[in-house]
Amino acid sequence: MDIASEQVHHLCRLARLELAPEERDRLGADLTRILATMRALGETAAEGIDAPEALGLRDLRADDPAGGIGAERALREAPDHDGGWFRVPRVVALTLRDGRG
Amino acid sequence: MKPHLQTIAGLAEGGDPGALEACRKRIRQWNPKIGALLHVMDEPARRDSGPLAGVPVAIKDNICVADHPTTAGSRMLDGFRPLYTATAVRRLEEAGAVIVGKASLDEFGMGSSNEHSAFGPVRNPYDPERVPGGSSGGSAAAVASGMALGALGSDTGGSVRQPAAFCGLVGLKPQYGAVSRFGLIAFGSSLDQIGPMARTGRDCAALFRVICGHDRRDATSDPRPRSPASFAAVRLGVPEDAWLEGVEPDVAAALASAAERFRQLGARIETIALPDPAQALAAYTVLANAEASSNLARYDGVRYGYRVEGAGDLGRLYRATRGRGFGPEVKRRILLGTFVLSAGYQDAYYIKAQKVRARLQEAYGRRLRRLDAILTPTTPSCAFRLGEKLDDPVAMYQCDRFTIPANLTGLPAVSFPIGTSRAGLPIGGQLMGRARSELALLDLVDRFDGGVPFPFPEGVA
Repeated sequence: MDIASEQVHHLCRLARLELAPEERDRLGADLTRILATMRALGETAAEGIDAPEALGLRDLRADDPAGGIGAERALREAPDHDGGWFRVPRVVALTLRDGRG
Repeated sequence: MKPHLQTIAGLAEGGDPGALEACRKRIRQWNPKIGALLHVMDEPARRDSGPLAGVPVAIKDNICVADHPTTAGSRMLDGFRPLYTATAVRRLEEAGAVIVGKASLDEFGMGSSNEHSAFGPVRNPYDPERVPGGSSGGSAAAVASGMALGALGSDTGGSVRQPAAFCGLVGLKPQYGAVSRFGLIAFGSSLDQIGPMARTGRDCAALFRVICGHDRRDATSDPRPRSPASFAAVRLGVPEDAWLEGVEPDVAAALASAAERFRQLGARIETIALPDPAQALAAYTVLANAEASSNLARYDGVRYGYRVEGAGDLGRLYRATRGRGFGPEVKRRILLGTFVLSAGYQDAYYIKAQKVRARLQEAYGRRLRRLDAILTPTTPSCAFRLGEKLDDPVAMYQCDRFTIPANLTGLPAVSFPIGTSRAGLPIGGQLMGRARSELALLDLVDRFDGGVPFPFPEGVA
């Protein structure tokens, strides 16, 4: 199938990726070419196959919590932090017209 | 070069403390030319006891070593220093191995040539105009040029085996779950596996014995023992000609003579039909990238790594950081993975690929009930030229079509040198075996090469 420019735009939104327009066009063309090779998947008569079961992904150890690294160490690699918290730019764009935000 | 400076087994016999200095000398001499190591340890810590006492090793830079740079070949993690050490590395250190450096790779393990690294390509020590393979290209080039006697790579679709083939090494993709993934930066979590690379089957086994074993910190770690240690009467399957379509003549000829050599060693060889490699490649492309798009969601510029400053609001910070922090191949794969998981397309791609995967597992499992292993080429060609496939992702993905089935099925597979092309480049053969048969596969390689490594490239002394 053909990946149109607006579809790439949609995928970029889903994936939180900012791309320059020419990069978007190039990657869109690449996706179209790559997806053409997916015809090889064919029509698989695999009804009734439980993929996670067949791959042994049901047999995992219990997810028991055990110790953590602590806030101080967790912040060591953060680009910005303050008072034990990760610091980020504002989440909501404020409008101060009526003085209440 | 003295034999004890060439292999881990030689070092164990010779017990010469000069091995580390010899490797460090080759790093100074070769690394500026081929770019195999992204970080060289200033004063590597060394231990005098353990099964790998004093063995110099390189670690692929997507495997965490606490407090040392770990970039995964990405600008996104430039300057990042992990808080903890990967289980596989910790086990190597406890066994006495000495980490000499962190090895280059395609960004986040995504590539087959090591050209997709944010820090520049790696060159093949056998021909600097050619790629070392990828994504563990730095690990392979480091061992092939004698900067280390062994290395850790990671293999999601062939990333240990393909560079091993291009650089004249033995490289093992263990059974899924054999080696803990704790501390391995995730690409495709249901496919990723850390594997050893070295110059002989014996050396690879020495590394594998140390790094394998159960680890509670990896939910998919397999507690079962490895067996058998060797095959009694060996039965090998070789694919029929149709499956090998598009393989370079030199590679096909080397495969035929490898099969003949195994026959002389007493193996029974059978020609078998195998599932279409194009179908496995398509399923892999869907599944690996779907998992990648999910795993790479964590790089958001908030908790660690790269951040674009002055983005204004949080949404823009995410988008701008990811847009500039990731390289083109990673973005291509994130978009592809996002597409196959998106509403309206999931059944046609992701679910269908899961079913193909389950069917492949059944098909290979059935053949390996009768056979001990399947012998194929590791790659359709020898090392290609830098830039040759860089602008053609479809051609690049084709490089992995013989290695991918082992990742999709979870089965162990090893690449080992089976010959030299007319241009003097190494050729790799692959043995794919039953579940948990890694040691028997490496023993088979050992019988094949008699513990004699592929010769070093010219100029390594």
